[in-house]
Amino acid sequence: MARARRLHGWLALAVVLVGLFSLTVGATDVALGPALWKLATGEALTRMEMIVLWDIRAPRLVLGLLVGAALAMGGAVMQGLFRNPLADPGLVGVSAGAGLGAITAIVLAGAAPAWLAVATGDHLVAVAAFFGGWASTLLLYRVSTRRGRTSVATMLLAGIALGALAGALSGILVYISDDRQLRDLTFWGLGSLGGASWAKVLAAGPIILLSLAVASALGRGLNGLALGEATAGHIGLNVQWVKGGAILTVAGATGAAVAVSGGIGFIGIVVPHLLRLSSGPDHRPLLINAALLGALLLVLADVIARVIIAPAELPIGIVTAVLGAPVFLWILLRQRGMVDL
Amino acid sequence: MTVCVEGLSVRYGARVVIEDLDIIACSGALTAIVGPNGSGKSTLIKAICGDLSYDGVVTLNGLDVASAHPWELASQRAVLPQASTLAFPFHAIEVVRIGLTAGTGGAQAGRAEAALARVELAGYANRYYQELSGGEQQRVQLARVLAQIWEPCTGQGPRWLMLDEPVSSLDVAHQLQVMSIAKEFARGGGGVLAVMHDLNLTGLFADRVVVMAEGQVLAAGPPEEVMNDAVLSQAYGCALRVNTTPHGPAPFVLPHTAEAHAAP
Repeated sequence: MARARRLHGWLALAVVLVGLFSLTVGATDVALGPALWKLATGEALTRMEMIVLWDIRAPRLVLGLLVGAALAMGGAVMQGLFRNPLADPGLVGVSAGAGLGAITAIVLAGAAPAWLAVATGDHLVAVAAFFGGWASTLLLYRVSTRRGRTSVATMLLAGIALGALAGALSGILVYISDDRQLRDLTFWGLGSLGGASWAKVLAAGPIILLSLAVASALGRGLNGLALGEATAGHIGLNVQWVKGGAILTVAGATGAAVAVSGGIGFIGIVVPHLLRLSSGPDHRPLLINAALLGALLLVLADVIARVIIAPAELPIGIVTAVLGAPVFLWILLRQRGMVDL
Repeated sequence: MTVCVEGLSVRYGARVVIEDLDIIACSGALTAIVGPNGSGKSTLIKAICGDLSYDGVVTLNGLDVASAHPWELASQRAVLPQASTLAFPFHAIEVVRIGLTAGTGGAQAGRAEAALARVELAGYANRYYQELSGGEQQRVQLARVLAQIWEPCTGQGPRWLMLDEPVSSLDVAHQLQVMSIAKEFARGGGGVLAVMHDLNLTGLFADRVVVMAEGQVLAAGPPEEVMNDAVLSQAYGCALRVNTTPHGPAPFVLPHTAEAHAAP
């Protein structure tokens, strides 16, 4: 516990350092140091420096932090809710559901009633992704939980079915989309922070921050839930509130992350695992550490994606999969017998 | 103060598990619920714990179980489930501390350690729960339950220990240990309701026995009155002969008698 708490500080420090580093690297050789010096001495930045630092790298950094934190904390909350270390929004169809929501919004935005456009403003895609994620989380939980027990086999199979269904419906929408929409969809589906802009930060940021705030209050409840739903109630927790909060959190974090970055895998499953191994399964520090480590790793992965074949760019989903999948397998080997699946 | 069950009926779908059942359990006593498999014992204790919906009235120290908040109930009673799986690799001491979550006057420092010592697992605090044997896991759960309602009796009245087959995965020495802990809790002024399979431990430790069969109460009273040949044979559907030891009134039942009866 004390160790997990100490980790907060170290992770926060690492996030700051990696964040500053990510501002200095990129396709152009604009450096952060001279620009900061100019800001400090009141000298005007060049137009190039303004565009590269403020319009390209800064929103990309902020979006990376938000998405990384959302994916890792979403994974940790989902694993707590399902009492299962294999639950991950990407694996069990929640990301696909959120994706369906986002695609629906992109393709059918023109057909949406005027009041909806007014109510959601620039956030239509993010809001639609949230509802897609929420509906699939809820459906998945209903299908796989009976009398307070979640069946892993049912959860994984239902997740596959949900994912396939969402994929098929998304396919139909792609089929009827026009050329411009198709271009948007393709970029979106690559799983990248490439199109980062302040508008996207503003669209996804509030939903993600709200989800993180709710999740940070769920630690005690998820600890109780680890003992089983009935026991969680016996020790005085309002189980319905904990479950409802967890489902909304997962939907909000996953939906918003998917809406702005496509599907980025493995952060949600690898980060909570690494933290449980290093500092224990107590959800109170775990959820906060997951957000920090998720933000750290995603920004780091984005730096790698940007420089490894510069000036071209690798989709970040490839980087997280190449790094995450072996770690995941290693965890499974180490954990064999330790976790009751 | 009592646990009071009036006109309780429980249905699973169309199947009636318990119908129009009344029982009263008083604090200061260990009340055992016995009966054959499927007689509704576990369903009864689940209803009393507020785990399922039912018709009728269940009150705990005058608190209506169906409408009470989870945290109100948690400060008055703790529940030991039949079997517990744990999703994540918690240490034994962490499992006990989760029981203190409700924060109902149970947050004193050292409480969790004392509870582990109470079930003779003091050296197991930093062992992984999953690495413990079934019996040790059951005792860690008992420690968690004890930590939740440490004092059997407070200014607000007695507290209740609800045990669903507390000794089913334990060896004989630990069966005696766990039953002694429960008995001591009752002696301290608290109430104990235990679903039991072992008739001999029931005869030895229970102050009151409720015999259930087919969702109804067949008999209720002190063990030496209720545990007789006729009642037990009817409840379990086999010829049982009840005996007493030379040392005291506690009845015991040997399966041999049923076997001998069935042989000819």
